[in-house]
Amino acid sequence: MQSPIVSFPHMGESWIIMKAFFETLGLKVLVPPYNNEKTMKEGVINSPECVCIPYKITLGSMIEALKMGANCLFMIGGQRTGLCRLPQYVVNQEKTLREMGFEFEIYKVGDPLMIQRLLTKDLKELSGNPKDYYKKLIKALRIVWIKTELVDLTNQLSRFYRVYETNKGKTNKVREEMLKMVDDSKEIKELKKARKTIDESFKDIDIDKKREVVRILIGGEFYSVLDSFINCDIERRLAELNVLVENPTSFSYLIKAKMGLGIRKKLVRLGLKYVPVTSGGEDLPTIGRIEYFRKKGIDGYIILFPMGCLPETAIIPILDHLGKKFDLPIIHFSIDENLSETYLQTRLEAFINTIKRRKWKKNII
Amino acid sequence: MRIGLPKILLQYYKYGILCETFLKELKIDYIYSDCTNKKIVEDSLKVAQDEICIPVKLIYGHSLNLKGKCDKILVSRMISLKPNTITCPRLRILPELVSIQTEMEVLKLNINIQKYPLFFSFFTFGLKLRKNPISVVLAYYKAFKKYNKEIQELKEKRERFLKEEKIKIALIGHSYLIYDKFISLDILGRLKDVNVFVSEMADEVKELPATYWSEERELLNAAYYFIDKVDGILLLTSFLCGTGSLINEFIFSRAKECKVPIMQLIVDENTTETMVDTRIQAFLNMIWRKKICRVQ
Amino acid sequence: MEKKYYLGLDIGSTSTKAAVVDENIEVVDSSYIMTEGKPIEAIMKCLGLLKKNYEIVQAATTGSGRRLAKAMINADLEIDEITAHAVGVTHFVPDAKTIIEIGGQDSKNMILEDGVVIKFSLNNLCSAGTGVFLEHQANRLRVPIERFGDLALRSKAGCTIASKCTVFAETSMISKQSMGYKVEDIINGLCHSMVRNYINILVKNEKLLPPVVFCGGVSENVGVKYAFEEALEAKVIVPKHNKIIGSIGAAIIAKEEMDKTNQKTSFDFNIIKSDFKTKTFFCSICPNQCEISQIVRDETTIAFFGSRCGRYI
Repeated sequence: MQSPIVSFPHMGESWIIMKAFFETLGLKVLVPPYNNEKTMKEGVINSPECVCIPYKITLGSMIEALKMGANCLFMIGGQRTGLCRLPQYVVNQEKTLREMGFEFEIYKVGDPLMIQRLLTKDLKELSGNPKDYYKKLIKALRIVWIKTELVDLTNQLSRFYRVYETNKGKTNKVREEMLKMVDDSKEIKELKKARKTIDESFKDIDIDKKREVVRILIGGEFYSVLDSFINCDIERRLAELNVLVENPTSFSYLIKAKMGLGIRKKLVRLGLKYVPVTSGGEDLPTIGRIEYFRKKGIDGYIILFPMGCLPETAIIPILDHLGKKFDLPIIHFSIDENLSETYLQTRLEAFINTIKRRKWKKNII
Repeated sequence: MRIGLPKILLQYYKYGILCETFLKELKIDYIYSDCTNKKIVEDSLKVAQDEICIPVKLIYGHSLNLKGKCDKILVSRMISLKPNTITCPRLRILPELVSIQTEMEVLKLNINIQKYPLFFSFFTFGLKLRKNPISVVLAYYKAFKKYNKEIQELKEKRERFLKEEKIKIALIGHSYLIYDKFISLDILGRLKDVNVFVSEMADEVKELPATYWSEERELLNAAYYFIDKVDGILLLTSFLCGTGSLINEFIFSRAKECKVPIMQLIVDENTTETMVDTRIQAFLNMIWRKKICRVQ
Repeated sequence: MEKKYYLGLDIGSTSTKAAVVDENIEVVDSSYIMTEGKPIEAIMKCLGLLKKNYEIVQAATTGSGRRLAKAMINADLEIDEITAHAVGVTHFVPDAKTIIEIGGQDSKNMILEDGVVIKFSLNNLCSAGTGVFLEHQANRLRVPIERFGDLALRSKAGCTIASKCTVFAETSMISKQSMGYKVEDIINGLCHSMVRNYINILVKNEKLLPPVVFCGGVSENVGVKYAFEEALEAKVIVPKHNKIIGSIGAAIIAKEEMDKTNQKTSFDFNIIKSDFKTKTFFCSICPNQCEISQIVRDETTIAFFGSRCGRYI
């Protein structure tokens, strides 16, 4: 086929990592506009009604990419990518996109066997079978690993500095600059320097260490937690309410989990204490987090998931039960295309205020 | 000991005859919950979480209906019903949900056909009730025979129906919707003048679009099997059916491709008779008039 | 020889209509009144408004109240309103490919091929995209609904009314008024809003092909007609008898039934003189506790409505 122009749907800052991977392999990459109202509209019109929002918005993202000229799409899919509807997404999405008249190749990023085939065969062909393909591949994987860590580090530091900053808005500005820098850095040397710059830039932000904050844990379905468009930028809203956000669902968490490493295994074990088998997705970690983070001291737990999310809606009674058992305030939000900012803001404020009052009362007694 | 059998989901509408015969043969006392009625629906809505389909919500109402009438309640954990498939994720942790929300003692029946055969599920379940393994095996054998007989009878019915001149409609939907008179607004009653083909009547179709869910695969299979044998397809879906929302798209496409009339009825606890009645009448009239026109 | 006639009765939630056709399917008489929540009275009145007691050889009922009407007047058959409208429209526009029907409290869309319906959709759940949407706003603007069409045509400026819900559309309209938009622009905006709602709820991604026929109470409104023409990029036909086409379709179907079965009708105009009463009670036989309505004609019970189990017929 004609020269491949690679693209992929959005999920939070994942585009930085994906772009770096394909560019290092020498492929031309087209990044569609970050999730916005238009993406949502396109996705909603072309999706079945009762399907979850990540399906709709990733479809919208892919439509935008194809309209802009991409002809090679990469999307998660395939049987062993999870127990919820996610493995089925790409089957329906491909069908819809072809019925709309687009011509393209689509590669499903799925179970280890599929990934192996992708890395050793498909990508090699796409990038024109260069002699130094494996050298490029190793470099690309290294860069993916480093950039993932840098993006997560930037986000982690932002959470801290956002709530304690004395100069309102400074952290967000620094965060934007750092993410851009990570994206612009192409070589491993540059990335090593980038890490230093990130640490220093954030340290430069003036903070008020004495500020009273409420510590809130965020969990739930991973797309809802990672994508600031569909969750109405909930972390920024919480920071404005003096909330220190703990969000352990990061990109490195997901990648490590795929490889069987990281904290997810422990969370699953803790979740299995209450539910003997998983219903898919992040349901067991969502439950497991309650015990894990309680020990670290959190004041409340916000759970986000798409409306109709099969695993997460199945465990709601268990979450409520555990919330009562451990005396931990829990609130959940189901996200769909009709989620309005006012709806979310009002409830966040109410939730945080009740927690603040609880703390205040406890301190008095 | 008396075991309560809630008339819910697959444990009643698919494996009902299997469970009942099994318990009968083991001489264990059992009692069924009432058929779904207004009170059961109301009780379910009070307890269930919002965003799940109505058939799963009903587990709570049916369980509460049995409270005080039995010692333990049977709730199945369905993980897989066919090799290489899994069930809808909502069906995997039902025993825990019922136990927490109704505070009743639950007897679990685990079915996971991708890992172990159906016989094994019932064998381990039977041993919790009777110590003698031989009687358990015999009971299962008799129960399975009866269960198989039912399926055979359905297939024979299909052959009979195919030969008759009446209008033929494939009714594609989960059995726990179609056969629940209350929730389906007695859809089978409304279709009594036509020949209705349900998904259990279909033989296996080789080429199907990819799908990992046991029950959806059966529905998709039925749609593909009956597409050239019926005059129309009636798709009965729950509002917020997770797996259905994606798989139904393939059924619509296939119907469009083969130019077969298809109508979807989406039901939930708020669906009323008027909503369903007019649509079904109009659909049947549409098919009938199309047929006459073609003849002319 | 005594002339033979066929009667079609359409009992809707907003209006009740009757049509009388002859052997050549010419409409010889018709009547139209508002149901106003009293279907029994409406049926009697509607029949009473006909010019004379025609020799009816077959009668059919349609509309949401068809079952009640059939029992009341001893009609020979009842037919769903989608089929009735399609049959009525194709009699006047045989090559119609799309039918848009918007009544007071529901809206329908039919797609036809070779004169037969091949797909349909019906909305009787949400007021958006139905006549009551416009009526509600007309009341608020203190503009009689009959003038809506003409005013909409005078509009020269665009005005978008946020549409999904009737109540929220009102909020949007109020804000547009306060911004200084003229009444005719707002009304035009409402007509477009109604069309958008209709398409979002009933049509979605389906292609609507011409000839497009628009019927039902709202088809009187030229503003909505032009809004449809703009949205569908096709000419929209509003046929003669647009408001009563359902009852005409029912009458035609009555004739079809007569031609097929030749069974004598049980309908008689004298029925209008009968005394009808309704009693309601709660059935306590099962936990469903259905509310049953019992229709009594001249001291004889003729029908029951409302039981889930079909115990009462």
